[in-house]
Amino acid sequence: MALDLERTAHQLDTMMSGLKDFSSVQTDRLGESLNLLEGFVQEVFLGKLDTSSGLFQWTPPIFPESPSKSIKEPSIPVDYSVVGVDGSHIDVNRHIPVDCFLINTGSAYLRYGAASEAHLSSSPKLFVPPDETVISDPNNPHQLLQIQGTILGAIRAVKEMETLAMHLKNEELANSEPVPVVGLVDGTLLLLDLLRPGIPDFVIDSVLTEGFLGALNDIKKTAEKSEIVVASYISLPGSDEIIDGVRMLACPYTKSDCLYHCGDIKKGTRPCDSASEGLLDRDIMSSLLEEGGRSELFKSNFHVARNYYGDNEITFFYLNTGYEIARVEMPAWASEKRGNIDLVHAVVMEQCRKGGGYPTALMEAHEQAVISTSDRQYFLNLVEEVLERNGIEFTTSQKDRSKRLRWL
Amino acid sequence: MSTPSYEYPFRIGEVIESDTNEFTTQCYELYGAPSLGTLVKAGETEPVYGVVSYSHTSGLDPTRRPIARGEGLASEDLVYDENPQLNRLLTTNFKTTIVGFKFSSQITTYLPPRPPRIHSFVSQCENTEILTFAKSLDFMSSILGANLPQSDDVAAAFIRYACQALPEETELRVESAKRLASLLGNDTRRLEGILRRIPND
Repeated sequence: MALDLERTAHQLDTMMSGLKDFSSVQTDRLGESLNLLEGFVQEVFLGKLDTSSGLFQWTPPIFPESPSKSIKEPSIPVDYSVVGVDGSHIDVNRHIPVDCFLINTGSAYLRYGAASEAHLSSSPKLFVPPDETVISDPNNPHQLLQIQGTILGAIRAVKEMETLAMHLKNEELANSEPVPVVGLVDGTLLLLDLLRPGIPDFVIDSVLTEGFLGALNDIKKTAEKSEIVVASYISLPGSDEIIDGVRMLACPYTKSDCLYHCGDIKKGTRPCDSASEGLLDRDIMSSLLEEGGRSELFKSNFHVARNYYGDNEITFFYLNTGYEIARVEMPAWASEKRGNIDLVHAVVMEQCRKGGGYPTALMEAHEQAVISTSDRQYFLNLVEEVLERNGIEFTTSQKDRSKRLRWL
Repeated sequence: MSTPSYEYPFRIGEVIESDTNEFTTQCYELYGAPSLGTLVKAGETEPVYGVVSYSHTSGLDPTRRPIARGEGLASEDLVYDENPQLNRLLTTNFKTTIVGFKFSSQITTYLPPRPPRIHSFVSQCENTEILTFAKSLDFMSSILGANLPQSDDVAAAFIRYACQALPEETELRVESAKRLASLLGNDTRRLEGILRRIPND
């Protein structure tokens, strides 16, 4: 037997007793954080954010005037469309002789109202060596980065955004009597993984600036001509940006210099921990937002992102869909108009109702994009067949062979 | 509903499964299956004919079950208007018992040498074709003997369909009843059951 379930179950029991203790502490912390938000004064917060710049070790977003306010669900237009895009990929398999990967992008166009209709589609794209599987530095062709893992995830996000841009453009061109359109993608618009230390600048330029943000800029251009809004939807968000702000509110010092004041204090016992440690934004929002309500708009404030995102700076709100607390992100240009936020709020709520807790357009886009285990195997078989038909022997690693054969 | 083919109005769908005795058609339009007992043909130049014996509508993806969506909606149509993706995710298929084929412009009322190809276009039949099968009824024995729970209903439905399509053929009902009587022999109970399903009008 590979996994000793008896010993694992014992460890799970131990984990649960720890969680019970944690849960009661968390309730106290949540209460304190809610008190802090109730007494929030924007000028004081912004002033402290300014004076603590570079010293405060967390990344609070720019808070709105009333961060604890719940905004009621707005009315939804009679006629509107939703375009959902999602992707799936087959990563590079180092056990086969060719370093290729595949991205499958799924789209769902749903129109509601008098002319209700739907179009579902998927589009696979195979990336083949030598040029499509690496990112090269335009100033130094010998400087290459193999696309796989995190970078491949980012390339997939680019493909999804490009697909959404294309659909929104087509929608704008095709409709003589346009209706409001909401473009939705799954997951965050903030590609922080690309901005980690160690990722070369030419990769950021190629994937983030030209790719992802380029596609967002295309959508912005389309949106200038018609009522098109773009947003991303995050189910069960694990973000703690608002919590970072709560830490600042809880900090007793005029200047929040974390290292100076609390550098020697153990995690969990720092003054700010009493209102924040172990909490997520969604914990606070589930206490603040009524069903169907959204929070005010926050603006992400990651220094690393600010240099790249420009007009596309990420703003976000939380939404109590009735099923869960979700996070909805919009580029700043799209959330400038209150009407756009209301449209996204109303449409996402209605989509969640139709989809039993998750937006229908994203669910159907996912169904179009998903690559099943059997499809992955077929893909591998196809690669093998094509290679052998062209006289290239399909070799695999002994490790892969051993995993597949599993002999006694 | 999915868009019907206006260019080819008589085309209903395409063959997706096929064997010596029957073929299955996927309809272009959701709920677009012809009525039980309808004569259809599959293929272009030398079509294979069949009588609709079964139809069903389900999700395209067998792992996704439909769920109730209409609570709070005033009509069934609204369920589809409010969930337009359903028209793309549900599909209607129907099975057809093969009853004949055309070869060298001649319609033959027994099994063809081979069933229709997958993706053969399936279309409605013209009245001359319906008349050929209604007059012969050679295929009735294979429908009655097909061991389907709905065999008798299919037989009755074909006769109803033929009488409705060919109102000028005033003797069709009586001739069909006679033919059924000879096919069913002493099984008068079954014969009565089928005839009860074929009203006079």
